[in-house]
Amino acid sequence: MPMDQSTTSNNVAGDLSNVSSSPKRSLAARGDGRYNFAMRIGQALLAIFIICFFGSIIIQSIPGWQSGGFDFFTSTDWNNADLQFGTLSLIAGTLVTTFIALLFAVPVGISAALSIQFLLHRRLRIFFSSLVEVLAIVPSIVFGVWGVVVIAPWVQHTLEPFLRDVTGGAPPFQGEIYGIGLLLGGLVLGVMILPTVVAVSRDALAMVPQTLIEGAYGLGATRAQVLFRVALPAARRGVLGAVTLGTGRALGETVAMATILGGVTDNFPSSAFDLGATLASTIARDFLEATGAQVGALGSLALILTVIVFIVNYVARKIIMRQAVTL
Amino acid sequence: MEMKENSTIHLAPVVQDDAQRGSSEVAMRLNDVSVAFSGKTVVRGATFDVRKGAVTAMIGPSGSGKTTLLRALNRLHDLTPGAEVKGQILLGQDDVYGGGIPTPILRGRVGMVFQRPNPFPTMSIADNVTSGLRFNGVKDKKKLEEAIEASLWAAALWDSVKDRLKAPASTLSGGEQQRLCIARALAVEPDVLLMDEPTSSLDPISTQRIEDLMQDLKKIVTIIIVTHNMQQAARVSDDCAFLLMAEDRAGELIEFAPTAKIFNDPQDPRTLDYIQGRFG
Amino acid sequence: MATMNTNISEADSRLNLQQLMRQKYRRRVIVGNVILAFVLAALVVALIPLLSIVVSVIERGSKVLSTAFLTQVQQDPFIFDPYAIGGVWNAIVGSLVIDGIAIGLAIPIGIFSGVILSDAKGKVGTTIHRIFDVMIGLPSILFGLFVFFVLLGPVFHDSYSGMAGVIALTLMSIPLITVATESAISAVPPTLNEAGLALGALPSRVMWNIKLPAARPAILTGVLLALSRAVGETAPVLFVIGQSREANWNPTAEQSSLPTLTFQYLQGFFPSQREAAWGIALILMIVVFLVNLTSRIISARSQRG
Repeated sequence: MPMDQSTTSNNVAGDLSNVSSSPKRSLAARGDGRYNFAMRIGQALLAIFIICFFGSIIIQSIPGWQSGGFDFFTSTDWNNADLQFGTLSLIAGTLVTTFIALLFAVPVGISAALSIQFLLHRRLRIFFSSLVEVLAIVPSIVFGVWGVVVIAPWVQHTLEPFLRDVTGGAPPFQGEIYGIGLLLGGLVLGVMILPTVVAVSRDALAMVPQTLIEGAYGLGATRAQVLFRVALPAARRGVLGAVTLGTGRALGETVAMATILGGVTDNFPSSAFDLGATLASTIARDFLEATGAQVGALGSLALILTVIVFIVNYVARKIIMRQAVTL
Repeated sequence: MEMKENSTIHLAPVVQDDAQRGSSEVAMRLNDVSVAFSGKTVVRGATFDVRKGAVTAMIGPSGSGKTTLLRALNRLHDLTPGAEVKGQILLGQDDVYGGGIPTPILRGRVGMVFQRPNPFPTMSIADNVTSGLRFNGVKDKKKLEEAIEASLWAAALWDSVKDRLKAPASTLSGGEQQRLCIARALAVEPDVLLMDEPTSSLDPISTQRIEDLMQDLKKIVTIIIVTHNMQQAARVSDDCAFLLMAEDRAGELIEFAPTAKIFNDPQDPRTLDYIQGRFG
Repeated sequence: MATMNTNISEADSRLNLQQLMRQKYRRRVIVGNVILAFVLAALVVALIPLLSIVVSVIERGSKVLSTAFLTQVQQDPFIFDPYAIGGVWNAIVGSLVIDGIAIGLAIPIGIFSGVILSDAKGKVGTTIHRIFDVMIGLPSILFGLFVFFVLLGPVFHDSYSGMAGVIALTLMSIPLITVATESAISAVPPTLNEAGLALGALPSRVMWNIKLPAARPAILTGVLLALSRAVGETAPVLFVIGQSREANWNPTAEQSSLPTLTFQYLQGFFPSQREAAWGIALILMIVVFLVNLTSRIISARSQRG
């Protein structure tokens, strides 16, 4: 089709020269060249922003490596006052609390999402899905308050003694009972990420095509089979996304953990009852009085946290991709 | 389309001799059946016998309640909120709505193929075929493997997929996916197979393949097909039920007769109008 | 002609299968029901703590709420007057100022970035997209740290400033708005896009006049989500805005904010301070709830329209 070189044509239907496939041909199309140019600049700016942001984290962490030396990763003592910077306890604390949180939030959350989407009547379904969506945005500090005031006594006087008695003081459940500590932190984190896991999973389940569900029923499946063998697998990308979101939030939770955890940074946890700290809570706690080398150390913590978050995202994406291919 | 001579097909024929136009045995019987949801009647007055080993078509313009009636036969209509079914539907001796036969078991005896192919996307081809069997508790690996081959053969899909049974079902074309769904439904060896406009989303070649397939399939299952395509009904079916929407927007059965009779010598003037393409 | 085994054993095998399935039925129904019971129980287990929070906040927070609480500025209790809490007006003003400006900045930047991102293709584009996805879930404290480390010295001369908090919150909100915008744009039906191009419009025109308006409700939802996050976050602003006791509308001055005040009060010595923390928590929850409600009304309207 011959390109019409005329730029003054008023025949819109017949004049295809404005289509950007030939940007150099007409004046009007060159105008869009400006648009494309702006887009390129914009992308460069975004890239620069990203580089600056993460670059600064890396740079700020350098003094931390330097003063900590090799011990930085292997020592379990993190003592701001003594300028001792071993991060193992903190990493352990972060992983333990996040693990407890996921242990609670993932099975409970996914099942709750299944209930809401498939087991409730329409009105109840709408009510509960709205409720959960709102709860997902409640500021985390509210959870921190609630954890310390309402839940800690229960954990101290009921839950932890129960766990200790039931398991006879086996390794995860030994030691002094304080109430606050890693177990409480993990539980509060779990409750904190629960609405997110439920809301996003439920959205994913709602998107499963009705025809798949009918097909399963049509073959004689029971409701439980439809839920677990058809609906849940069909929704697994979204559900995994929900879990990833929750994990990210748990890893980075600062203020609630700072309030709850009791800030003990030199104890490699041997029990869920222990006091402890996470990477994020330590940053929050120690920051205001940090000077000199301490600041660099906290920067290193920030870097470790960032790396962990990226790893989690990467792994989650790999799992999702692999599942999509091999089915 | 030929069945393999020495195949391990265990799908027992319903009709011993296909020289006859099928036996006069009745696979399903409908008695004044009406279906509603949330108080609104969608179809009523359905009374007819579905002959064993025959293809029975339900035809009529859209809105006449054909699909709703079809879905009542395997109680899939129960999934719609506010569903109500009146009248009597018999599968052999069992009252479908009587409570004597549990719904999942019923659905194992009355299978369904849907308008758009709906294979389970997270399962391979082989797993799709055996999914019905596995839902119903069949775990014996040997049985399952035999069922895969037998059902895919019966659905005229075996040759195309026998080398890629582990591939995801989504890699098949539309027509192949629909035949996969047919194989899946056949694997549980139902007495009756319901087909809800099974070729309406397919290209003409796939459509013809499935129409041809039906002639072979009816030797092993009784088929009830809903189609909005009159010519298709004339091509594939032995008996025809014509439904039409009445003034109160509920569909009703106008006429039921062997296909040849419906198309050549319909009793009801409305049937004649429909056949002649006056509406629909 | 197809030969099918018509002898009795084949007919039997169908009956056998049906019998087998019948046999297995009872067990699988029972197992299924047990599973469903657990699934439903999970919902109850999930609701208990969540409702406990809502009830606690409402119950304890409402005890503290009063007009005085809302309109007076913060005071410090001391031994002779342990209930001299005053109010939280300074934090309210601080939040209004900081969050308002932050969202105001993040919206245009975020939307433009979203447009840019939707246009970005190839490896670079995908990478940027992926990194932004991660940044949405990045611990918010990192944004506060960024401002503290990089800007506090050179730009703010080591003094507390509300604007530092603004920058942190803006940076935190940008990825969310960007990604929301980008997916809203991608969700616009391609037919609209093609119709515009077929009529001879430039892609820039198509974007501006067709795509963005179509994407508007979804973008708005994303913005409101970012806003509710910004309102509730403590970490990004904690280190950089200070702890002002005065209510000032000057963003460059030291400021307080609702979440940071809550944090302060949580660690306070006097019980009256901890009670006040519940009150602020209630305020925060109400605000977040209202923002969320608005967002739903907008999406519901857009679907109807």
